Amino acid sequence: MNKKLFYILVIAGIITAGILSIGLGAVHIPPAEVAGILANKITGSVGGANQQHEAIVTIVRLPRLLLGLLAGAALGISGASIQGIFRNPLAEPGLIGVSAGASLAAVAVIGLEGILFAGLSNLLGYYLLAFGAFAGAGVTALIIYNISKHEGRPNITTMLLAGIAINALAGALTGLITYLATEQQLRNITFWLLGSLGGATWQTIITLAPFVLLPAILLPFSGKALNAFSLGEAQAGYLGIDVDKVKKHVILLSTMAVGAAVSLTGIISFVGLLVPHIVRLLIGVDNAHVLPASALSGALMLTLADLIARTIIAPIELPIGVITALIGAPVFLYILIRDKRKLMI
Amino acid sequence: MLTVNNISFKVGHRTLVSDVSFSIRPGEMVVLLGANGAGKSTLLKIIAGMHKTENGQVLFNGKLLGEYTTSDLAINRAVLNQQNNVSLPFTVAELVMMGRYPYFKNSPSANDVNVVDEVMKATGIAQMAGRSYLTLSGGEQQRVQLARALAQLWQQKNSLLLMDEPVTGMDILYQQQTLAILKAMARRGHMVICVLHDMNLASHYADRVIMLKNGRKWYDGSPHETLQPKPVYEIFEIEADIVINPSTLKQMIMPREVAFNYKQTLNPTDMETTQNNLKQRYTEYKAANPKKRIREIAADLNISEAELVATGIGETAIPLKKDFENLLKRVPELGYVMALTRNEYCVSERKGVYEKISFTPHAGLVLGEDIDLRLFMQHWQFGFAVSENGRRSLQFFDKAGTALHKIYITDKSNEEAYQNLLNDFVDNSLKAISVAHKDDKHNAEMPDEAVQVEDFQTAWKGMGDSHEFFGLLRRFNVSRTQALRLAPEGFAKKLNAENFKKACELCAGNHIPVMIFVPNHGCIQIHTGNIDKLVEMGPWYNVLDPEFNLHLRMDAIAETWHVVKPSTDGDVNSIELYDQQGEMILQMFGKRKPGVPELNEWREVVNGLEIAIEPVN
Repeated sequence: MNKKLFYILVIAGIITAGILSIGLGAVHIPPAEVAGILANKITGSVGGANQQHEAIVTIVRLPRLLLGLLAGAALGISGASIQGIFRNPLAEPGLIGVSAGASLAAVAVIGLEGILFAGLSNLLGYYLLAFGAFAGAGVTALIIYNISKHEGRPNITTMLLAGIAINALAGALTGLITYLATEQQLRNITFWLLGSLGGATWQTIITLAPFVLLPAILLPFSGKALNAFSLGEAQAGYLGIDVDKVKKHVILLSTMAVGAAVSLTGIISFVGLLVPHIVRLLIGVDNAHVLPASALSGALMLTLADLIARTIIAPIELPIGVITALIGAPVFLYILIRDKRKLMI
Repeated sequence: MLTVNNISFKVGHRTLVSDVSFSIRPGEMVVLLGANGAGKSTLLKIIAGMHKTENGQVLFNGKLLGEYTTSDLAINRAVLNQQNNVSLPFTVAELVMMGRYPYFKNSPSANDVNVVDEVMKATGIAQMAGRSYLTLSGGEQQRVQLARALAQLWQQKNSLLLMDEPVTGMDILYQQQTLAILKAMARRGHMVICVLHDMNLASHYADRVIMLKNGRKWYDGSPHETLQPKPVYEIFEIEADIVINPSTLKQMIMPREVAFNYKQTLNPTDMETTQNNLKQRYTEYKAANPKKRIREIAADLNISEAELVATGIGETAIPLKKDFENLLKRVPELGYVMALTRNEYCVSERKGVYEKISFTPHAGLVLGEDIDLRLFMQHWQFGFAVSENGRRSLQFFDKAGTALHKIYITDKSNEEAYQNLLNDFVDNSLKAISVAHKDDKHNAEMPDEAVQVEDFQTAWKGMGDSHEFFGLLRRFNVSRTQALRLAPEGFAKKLNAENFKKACELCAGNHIPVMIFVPNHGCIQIHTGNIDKLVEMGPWYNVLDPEFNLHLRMDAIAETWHVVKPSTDGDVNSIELYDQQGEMILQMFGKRKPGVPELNEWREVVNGLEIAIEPVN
């Protein structure tokens, strides 16, 4: 597919899905009115719109949309970068321990709340959860990174294996806490582990934005370097790429984006793995395009997934991670079977 | 210009590359041959800047390899690996464009696009530009990778192409075309080093062949010289017939059939058999020419001195462990001995006691009053305790079997200490030795125009110590005789060889103490003191004093120089003798110590020479 056309379609898709997403829900707001309210917000003019609808849009649905866009962009671009660095199309941000660390920390916060954090109000609770998850993601990624370091440089194979081991360890500890949790805690844990955009407020958006936007802007500059990585680290070095610097740079920025996103949304599986693959099938493998395109496509995919999660059996809301996995896994399998030869995994 | 100086590379205790030196000029296509595991790929990786060596250095276009940044290197050398796994299905054009990555930041320039087009046409892959790399056959992939490497240096003169088995997996037409392209690149002013397994391709396309064995350079020469049955057998352990291709007049190498015999093992007794044959020849030759010395016999038989000594293992020769540093540290226990160091045309023999022995990463030092040596241990390969005609000595040789240094026991030496030393350092496992092919010094000199003469002359005048001279040579990549030729006005004067004799006579007559340096690549022996009895016998000019003997072949002296090196203690004057190859035969200074200006008498002697005897042109 023509790259320009692809970008136009994805951006158009995001706008359409955004307007739909703001309009649909328990209270139905027609697309024209949504557009009017948004236009009012942007231009600063008052009046004309239904006050209740305006409140629903600005306080509930717009932040939720933005959280979806940011988290989706973070997962998409990190997935593409991590696959490039690891020279492995099956890699995803979870490999460097971000998800497992975030999960462990989040589950610990929920499960041990009564014992360790007694007296914390619900208001603080949400932030504690988010902060804990972010810290968990960062610390785990740091541990895996340090284990993989040999003579000052990260060894990618060791990193992959260390990631598997640390993921298993974190998974076991998460399981242990889950086993000891109360009924109510168990519901919270499950909800968090399956992901949700329900926690979106303007506060969380403002907190999250720099953590996602900075990597989303900086990572595409490593596109050329990641292309060279596909020839192997040695050859990338011969082509003038500072291999160690690129590795550190990409791992840091990816961890930052995914860690921040996951800490606010919980685990949303398959976006980071699937999005780059679809993008490559459509516009080719040049990372200079794959990285930004994965950010945009991730944003679109998560917005659509959230739309489905909220509306498919309304008023009940499904966890978004369930939707992404339910749709993502078959799509991924379909791609695998269709392009077995081409992917040569 | 690429100059590789004595590089070695180890992984753990395994030495993969050992003491390899050579240099390459732009325009040259060099093929590296060797069996599996001979160190070819490792050597390429060192030159590519991927492996850092502890010993030796690589000079690339006048700069040490380590001083290049990653991006500087990327526009001056390209590498084609043996293995080329690509993890994503790039198109052929995208992959070739990667060769241009060092030249642009975000998007390629028009020139980059042009280069990619040209290279794809030249390598015959233009028609597959849009295809996915992963769907190509192995040979096609290899061509795409070649194109990528060529694109990286297409417009860079004097750059270096390192190709590790570039034709693997290609059909016969593309093998030929690939080598033709590489040769054309060389002719356009690139340097090409190419690892091949096919000796016939090497014979047709190489300008020069370097053969490696066990990490060492074994042969280095034209295809005509190297692709011969003996080298081929030594390198690959196959019997081959060499025939001349009637249409190209190039050699063709035809390996003979090998029968598989599962009982056959590579047998160390083969080496012993060879040695026994040699021993017989040696014995017969010695009987026929009783007056000849071992060094002369070795030359006559076209065999190394060490190999001749080794024929005496079990009788006249005891092999020593290759732990020479520790062995040398024990030599002071022997007391009063005679140290002998020689090169092709000069022998220095000095009696005394070994004292103050130490080893630095650069050189070993013996700093006694009598015995004063600089030792370059990386060249020391074989050691024997030899007992012949009632004279006992410790003898040390380089990897080619050439003698580097000998220590003779005298009447005043400590017998018991000598026995103890032998007991501690005997190597009973060694029954026979195998020596490397002698290095034909391929020290291709840079043309004078390529030397930054002004900077060089300024640096010469700015020397603070005569020891800096060696660094100066390396920095400007000039040979010794070239340096003298390009020296600043008044700092190097060419003399007549007779001037050296004159200087000796003046010093002897006036009791002026001197320092005489006799070097070879493994050892420099320095005599400090007076010289007295001067005797000329045939071509030999000799000093025959009780403690110091010097034997010098006057007819081998090709150049004689009076050299002045500035130092913080004032100018240092020396007389230096060189042979036809530009190798130093001898160097003479006035006696001096650091911090003390040299003797005035010596200055008068040296500066008076030009007046005494007419200088040559």
